[in-house]
Order: sequence, then C-alpha cells, then structure tokens
Amino acid sequence: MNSTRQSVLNLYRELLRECHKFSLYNYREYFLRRVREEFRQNRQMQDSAKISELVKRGQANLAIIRRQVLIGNLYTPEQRSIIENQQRLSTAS
Amino acid sequence: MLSSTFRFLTRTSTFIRPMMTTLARRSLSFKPTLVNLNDKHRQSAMIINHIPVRQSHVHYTYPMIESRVMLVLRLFDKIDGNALQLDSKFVQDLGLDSLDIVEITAALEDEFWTEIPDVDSDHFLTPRHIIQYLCDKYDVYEHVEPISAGKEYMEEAKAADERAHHH
Repeated sequence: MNSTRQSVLNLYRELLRECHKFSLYNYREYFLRRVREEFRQNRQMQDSAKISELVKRGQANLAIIRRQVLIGNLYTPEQRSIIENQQRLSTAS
Repeated sequence: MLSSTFRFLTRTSTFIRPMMTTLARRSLSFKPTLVNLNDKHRQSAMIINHIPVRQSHVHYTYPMIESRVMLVLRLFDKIDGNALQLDSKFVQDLGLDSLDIVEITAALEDEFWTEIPDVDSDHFLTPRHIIQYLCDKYDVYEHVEPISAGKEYMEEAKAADERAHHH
C-alpha cells in the first residue's frame, strides 16, 4: 500500500517536472492545471484496481507530454503571447 | 480529458495553422528552430533539459537561503502567509497533504536549480527542515554554533585557575 502511494507521488512529481518544460505559456499552464486537478480529484480513491488503471493512464500521459515538449521546442512559433514577451525582455536586458 | 486534448493538438492542421501565418509574411523557407544548448543567445528562451549550473560567484548565506525558501512557500497559494513560521508543520499546522509537498519540492528545485530526491523530501516537515537541508547541500554553516574542544578546555583551565587563586 505504501509502495503504490510512493509510486503515485513519483508519477506526480515526474508529470510536474515535464509540464514545466513546455516553452509556450498556454500549454504549460494548461497541463499543470490539469495534472493538479486530476490528482486532486482522485485523491480519495481506495479501490486498488482503479488506482492501477489511473496510474497506467498517468504514465501514458507522461509519455505523451514528453513527446509534445520535444515537438513544441522544435517548432517554436515566431509570435509569442504577451506574457512571455515581457519575460524575455527582462532577461535579455 | 488530457489524452483527447493531446489528440486534438497533434492533428497536423492545428499545429501548422500558426506556422502558416508567419509563412505568408516571409519567404517559404521554414526552418525548425532546434534548441542549441551551447548557444549563449538562446539563454532567454526556455531550454529543455537545461543542465543546472551553480554559479560560482553567488555566495550562499543563511539569510539568503532562508528568505528564498520563505518566499517560495509564501507564493504557494494554499499556504496562508500570516500563519507561516519557521517551525510550522506542513501537514498539521498548515493543512497541506503529500501532493502539496511534492509541488513545494518541485518549486524549490526550480528556485535553487538543484535536484531534491524523494528520499529527502519525505523528511520535509517544517520550513526549518528545508532550510537545514539546503544549508547542508550548499555547505552553509555560519548559523551553527561551532563545536570545538578548545573552548571547553579553555573554560576548564580558567575554572581551575580561579580555584587555584582562591585557595
């Protein structure tokens, strides 16, 4: 029981780390919010079959997020949102 | 759901649409911008798999670490800034749970450009533990009372001296 809790926390940490790597503000905020909400909604789950199914879904989504981070960083668009422009200006100056 | 959104994103039409507007403005030579880790000019862009580098000119001191950790904790919206003390326990006093502690650890990793493994973040019960852990990691010990055999010896020698002079 403790090991599943640990594996769920590890999965959460991995998902958060990968979501931070998105270069586009919109994607980053959206996936962070979704990951947090999903984990918080299913916090009270006790059924171990459902837990393992959710963990499997989480791992599949982790693989998807990793691929999308790479693709998104390969093809960064010219136009960035205004929030990101301000950040880049402050680091460039 | 997460997966359906991804499927929506990966449908090629939605990805190419923002590209098409820029292509219309310029010539049709579209170069994918591969991120170069060693290129200094790209440092302002978000770099994937950025190798964390500890700047050698930054001098880590105890007040600096303490203020940064408290700032990161205050920025977390589930923590009440007024109730946050150095010794307030996360789970009992501030009402956080293990998911929140994982989030806090991830935020601290971003702030201090270092990795904090799970075995260490299990022991984070109060902010003081976090600050102590980071001080150990960065070899900051100016707030610790030094243990030296010389001091006790000097005190004993002084006490013996006092006794000798009184007699």
